[in-house]
Amino acid sequence: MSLPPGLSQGQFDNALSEFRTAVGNDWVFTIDEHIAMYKDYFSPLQNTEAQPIPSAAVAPDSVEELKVVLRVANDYQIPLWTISTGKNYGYGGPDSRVNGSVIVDLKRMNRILELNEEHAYALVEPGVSTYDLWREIRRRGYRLWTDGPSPAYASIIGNTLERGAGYGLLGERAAAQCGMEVVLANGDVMRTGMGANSNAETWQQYKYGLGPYVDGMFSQSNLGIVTKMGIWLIPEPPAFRSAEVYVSGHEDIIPMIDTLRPLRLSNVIANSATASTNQGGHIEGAQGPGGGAGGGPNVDGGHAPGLPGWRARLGFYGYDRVVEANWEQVQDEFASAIPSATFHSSRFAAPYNPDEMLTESKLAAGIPSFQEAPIWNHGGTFVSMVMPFTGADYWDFLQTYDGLYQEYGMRYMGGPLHFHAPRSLMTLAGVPLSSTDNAVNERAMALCENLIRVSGEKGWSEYRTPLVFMDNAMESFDFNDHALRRFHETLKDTLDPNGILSPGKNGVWPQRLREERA
Amino acid sequence: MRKLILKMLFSVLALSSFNLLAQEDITAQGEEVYMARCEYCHGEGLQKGGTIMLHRRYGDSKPAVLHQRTDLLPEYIRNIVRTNTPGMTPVRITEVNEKELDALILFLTRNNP
Repeated sequence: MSLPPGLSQGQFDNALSEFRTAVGNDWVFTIDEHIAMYKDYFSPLQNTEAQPIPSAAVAPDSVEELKVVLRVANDYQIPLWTISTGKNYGYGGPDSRVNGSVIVDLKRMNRILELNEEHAYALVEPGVSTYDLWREIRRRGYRLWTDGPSPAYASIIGNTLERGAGYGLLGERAAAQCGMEVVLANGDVMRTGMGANSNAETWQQYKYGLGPYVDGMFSQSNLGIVTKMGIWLIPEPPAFRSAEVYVSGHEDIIPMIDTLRPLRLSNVIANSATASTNQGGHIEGAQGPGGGAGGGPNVDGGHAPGLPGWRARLGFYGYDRVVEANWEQVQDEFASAIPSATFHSSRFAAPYNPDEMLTESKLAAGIPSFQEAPIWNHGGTFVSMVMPFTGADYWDFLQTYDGLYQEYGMRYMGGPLHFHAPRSLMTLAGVPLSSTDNAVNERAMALCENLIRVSGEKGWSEYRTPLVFMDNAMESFDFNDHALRRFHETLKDTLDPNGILSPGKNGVWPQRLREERA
Repeated sequence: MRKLILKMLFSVLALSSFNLLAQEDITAQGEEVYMARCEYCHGEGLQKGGTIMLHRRYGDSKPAVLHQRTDLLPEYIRNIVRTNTPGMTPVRITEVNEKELDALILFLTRNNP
């Protein structure tokens, strides 16, 4: 069992006893068997002493209980690490950055506080998963669609705060967030946007309120704990077409991206489209994350690869004639840019039956799924870059990454690409890990660090990064001697002077732990 | 005396039917836990990860859909739920508490011989 930094066993026992008073004996976890459930089994640091081990986990059921947890952490200067459902796999799962942290597990706060069909939104607590919300909408018979990542157990708040990607009309998850309740490190409870007016009925309808818009400060952040969040939903469309465009040449990705861009920018393709190689995503022999929702990163285990073609996945929604007209236009655009392009699509109409849809269509219809499990056999880690939305930039990325992968005895065939933030391109490169061979993981770490460094030099930076690379990834945001990070840390020291909230999250360290920066 | 025996018999019957009812209730609770926390990965359908994995592992020798199995033992279920296994990370007590896990086990073992 580990201890929080600087605390004696006696001091920690006292703190635990105060945590137990706050949340109840059953909801403070300290024995090894329980702590093991708060470990990231897909960490590149797995099976090494470098993987931080929590000293305890504490699971409050309410804001009032959470406030006491924060008071105790401040009194004893205990680093906390907050998780909603702790399923951020590929990016760190429930792991913390400082050995001996106390995990604040918010899964018990799992209430859907409001579900509004008329205005198409929900107000949820951190423990609510995408699947919980989807089921509740169906139970009530509301004509609403959700959006979100593929894994059904992901927290809506957690994934939205991580600025995750969905596949439907609200796939840019951070943009679908409206209004928050945040508990600050000192226990103060704040509501943002219109929620700051206690009488307002528009907390989930207008994001900005008056004055500085602060919601973004609490995403990918360690400045507060978000305990409630408004999330926009989609009125069920009368018709929906789930479509795919196939191109056979590897270099066809260049015109494919350049054809997609104007269609995406003008909202003819209004959903969070994706593209991936057409080899079915996952190459046998690779042990890392592949396949699944957006198609596979196609890390090859070492045998002779062919150069794959590509497929783009699109969704069209709305009135039947509009859906059909948009899809026809999109086919015309692709056919004129890439004459060999082929098309496949499936049409659905309300009332929708999820059992008739394959995963691709389900995702574009916001139906949580879970096809990935087999892929996660051994675990993997992601390097996810934001870059300009052009075929030339992506081709440069592909050559650069394949070159670097080859230095480590692997190949990178590309994909998946996400077009959820419609004016940029986001790429996801998976690096396989091993649950038994540490050498594989050391090699993966070295490759990832290289990918991040070289990307930074090319002007690509990560939109989201695994825990172990947070300092590396933040390093690439270097303008004016890291003015942005200096600003983050000025806020950190002001709002959380004891540095108790998730120290090191995305490379932002509190003063007293700043020497921990990698 | 006869009255007493009848009375005793009646209480035994009442008690056992009560237990039976309670057990059915708990099994139903277990089914709800299964539908909320397990089915999206382990249920019927071609594209559910857990079902895919179990099919790969057992072929046609055992049902790939978890709730159709009749050979799962309580301790085995508990162990799979709470510890890391390939493709399935631990389900924490905050996700499925001990009482819910007991109910889930009752549901998944309901058809065991």
